[in-house]
Amino acid sequence: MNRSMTFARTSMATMLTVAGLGMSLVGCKTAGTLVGPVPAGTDVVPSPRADDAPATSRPAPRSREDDEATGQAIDEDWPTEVLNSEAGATKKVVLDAISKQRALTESAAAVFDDAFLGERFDARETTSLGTQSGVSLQRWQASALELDGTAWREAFNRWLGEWRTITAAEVHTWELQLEESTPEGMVGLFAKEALWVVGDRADGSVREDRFYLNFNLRKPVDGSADAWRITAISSADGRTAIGSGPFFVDVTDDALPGGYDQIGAGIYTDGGPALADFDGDGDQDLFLPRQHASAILYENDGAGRFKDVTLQRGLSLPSLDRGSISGVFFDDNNDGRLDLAVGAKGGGIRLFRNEGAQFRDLTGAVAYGSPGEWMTLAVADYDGDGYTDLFASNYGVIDTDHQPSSYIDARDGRPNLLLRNDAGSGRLIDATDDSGLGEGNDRWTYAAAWADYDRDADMDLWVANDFGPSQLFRNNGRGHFEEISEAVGAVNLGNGMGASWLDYDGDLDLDLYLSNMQSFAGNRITRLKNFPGTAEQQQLYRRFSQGNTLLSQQPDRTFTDATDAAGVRAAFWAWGNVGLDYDADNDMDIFGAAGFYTGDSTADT
Amino acid sequence: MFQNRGDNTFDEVGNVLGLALRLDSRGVAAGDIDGDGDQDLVVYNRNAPLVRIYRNDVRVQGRSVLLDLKATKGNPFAVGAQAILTCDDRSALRHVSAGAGFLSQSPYTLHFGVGACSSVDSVVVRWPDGTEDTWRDLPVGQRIALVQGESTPRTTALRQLNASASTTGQPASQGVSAPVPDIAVPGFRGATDTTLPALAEGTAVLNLWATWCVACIAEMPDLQSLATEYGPRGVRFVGIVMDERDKESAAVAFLTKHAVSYPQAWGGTALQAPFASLASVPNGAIPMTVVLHRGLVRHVVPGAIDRVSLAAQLDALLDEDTP
Repeated sequence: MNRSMTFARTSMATMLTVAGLGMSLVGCKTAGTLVGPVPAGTDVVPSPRADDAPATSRPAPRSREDDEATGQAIDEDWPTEVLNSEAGATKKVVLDAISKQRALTESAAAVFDDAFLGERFDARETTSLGTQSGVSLQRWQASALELDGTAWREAFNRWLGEWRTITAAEVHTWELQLEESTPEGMVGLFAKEALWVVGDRADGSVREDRFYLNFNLRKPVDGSADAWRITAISSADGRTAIGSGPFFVDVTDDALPGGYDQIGAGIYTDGGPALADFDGDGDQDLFLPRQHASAILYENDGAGRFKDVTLQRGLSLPSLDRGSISGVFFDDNNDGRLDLAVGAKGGGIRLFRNEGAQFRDLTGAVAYGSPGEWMTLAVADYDGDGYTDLFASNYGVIDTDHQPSSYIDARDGRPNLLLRNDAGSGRLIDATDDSGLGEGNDRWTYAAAWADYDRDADMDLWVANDFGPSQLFRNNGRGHFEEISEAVGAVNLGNGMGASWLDYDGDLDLDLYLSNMQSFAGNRITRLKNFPGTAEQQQLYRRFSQGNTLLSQQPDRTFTDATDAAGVRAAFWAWGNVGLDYDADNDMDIFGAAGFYTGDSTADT
Repeated sequence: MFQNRGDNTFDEVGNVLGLALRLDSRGVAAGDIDGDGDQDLVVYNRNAPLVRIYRNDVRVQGRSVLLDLKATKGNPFAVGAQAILTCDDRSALRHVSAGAGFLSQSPYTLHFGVGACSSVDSVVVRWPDGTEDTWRDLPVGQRIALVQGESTPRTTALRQLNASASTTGQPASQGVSAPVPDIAVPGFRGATDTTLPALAEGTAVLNLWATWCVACIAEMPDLQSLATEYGPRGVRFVGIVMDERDKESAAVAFLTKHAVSYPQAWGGTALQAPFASLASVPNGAIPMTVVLHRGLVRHVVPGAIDRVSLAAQLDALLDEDTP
């Protein structure tokens, strides 16, 4: 999803508007000033703290502070949203107690109904899932609703005390339903809150609890907002993780010139790092594109400390000062040295030849594909001529005048580009149409990933699209592609934003892990009984709000959706992902980058 | 971070691992940036700071094998190649990609975690042109270059990982007391040719290194300071350049960059096997440090040295010389 569609209330509204369903859920109000290239009239919640303040080294503890209290107008078309907004202050008594690690005292008693029943919250029964690489996991067992309000508060307080310090807590409303069997004259709401609670324990280990907190709330039909009372609280799908490090250590301050106050503070930009040994000295060097500033090339000293060698290596160029968004190292002329291709959003793609001491720009006056919205660059020798070629993903422009024609099947994205390597001559030739990749080349493409997934000695291509299905293109061995996504079950319904081929299950074929958008607001409204449209539409829209997809390759080269079986769906608003074995225990772990954490705002995404 | 439970189901443990990135992140790449063999993370953010680097300090872990694949047919960096590594009846697949995820590129070097395996049974590489090569009995805890069509790993390209606290099972210093083999050691850049027995007349420390060797870079400051400290006490330090001779200018630049002033000699492929025979590591290791004393090989350190241990060994040898 594009920056200009930052928050899901906006994007869900767009999705419904685009779908012609005629209902809206707009109402996110902004605070502070917009920074960066955000089109006017777009509802976003910028974070003054994240953007304006100097870079800080540590994330501040989060709270749900005032998101609801600031009075986001909620459209009357969604009664559960209205009720939830109204009941928010009542729920907040409990939820704030978690984020602020503040015991529930007698003063909180008023929000609990006289008939309140809650489950045992401390010292609960758990099932151990074992300990692996320093992390032990326990799954919570369900327990009966047996505590009254006072006893529940005491149990809750003991649970809070199991952390020395809660360093971060997140709450998102996951599901809302009207209570069905509410007594005459009363209105009831079921609210399922998704929580993540992280902090330090007294022994120095880190504990994280993840769970849903189910609230039942009631008030008299004609009661005011402060008449809401909690009638029951239970948990679902809870688990506790406890880890004793060291694990990962943020070494930014030591590793990069400028440390946390580096380059780029306050600059809104999409982008990603390119790690490769461009100087052939055995360590991994780093190229950093920047959308609104010059790109930076760093040389690794072998011990993981980086030095800016942009000027020294000949990459301090006007063509790179105008901004770039992605870079990829590849050997364009098969001389054993890694050359560099760089793509710019609203610019073109340039090729820089590594001549040993310096890089030289081989691109002519007009960059390849100029001006496109170039995103991920992915390299492979698609035609088997021994030279690696370049696929470039083209997105599109979103502003008030340009919106995708559909939320789930937009065909008005800009065309992607396959650039064929002209036998290392330094020229790249547009082979998009010749290769068959011109078919269906009208999506909003964020990412692409090559692999010979079917092991027939040619390179196949996954194209990850926003606002529509992604595409798997199979190579026929002669450099010609055919889209086979549906034929082989390689279907990703979601806002595709990142893609990696990896063998997650060790069965020696390549599977696909796909980053999509996960929307809490989207999940809520697509679960409502009064969701407009057909059941199929509801299902489809709901799928679009759910999160990532894992497609597991089968022995017959088809794919099945293994996302839920593997437990890798929920990853917030996911962007990049990478398969790795961080604990070297001979299985594939997955790291995903999540976006749209903006300071202390906890507005829904 | 989704941790694989070992049964191909996953748990989200990022918050516990210190990766509670409350950032607006975009691209991400994983690679060994500090040369200790495990995978670190580089995360690109849309809010400040633009990029963060997370060093992998996970202590409870297995060993790693890093593979650099070199194709001789087609693109040299072997984009599209797939490697299957097998040890202890468990196989894993990695492939060489260039650009994936979101706007990101992870290194060409392939990383395999091998858990508790003490050696690799086999590596099968399917090259971009569809041909396959198989290697057997490769060591773990090392970075290895595999060249298409060469049935044994190219020994000059075998890299020993830096022995950090997070990498278990590094070969320990091997205390030995064997006669010095008669190996000729050609001088580097006009220096006089010599032999191992000649060097062993007194006390000598030989360090095998190469320009591509990350662990060598890491240990060179220690070696240089030991040379400065022990030189006046009669210990000769000699670097053995394991690159091929056409890399002379690269080697000179490397020595200048890392401020190494003790003398050098040529090793190259020719001396790989003779030196390997001194260590009980298949095909030898780079870096490797050998301590000679009065006609005997006294210590062999496959992999990076530990400064304190080497100093203690030299002290002990010098004590032997004291009447």
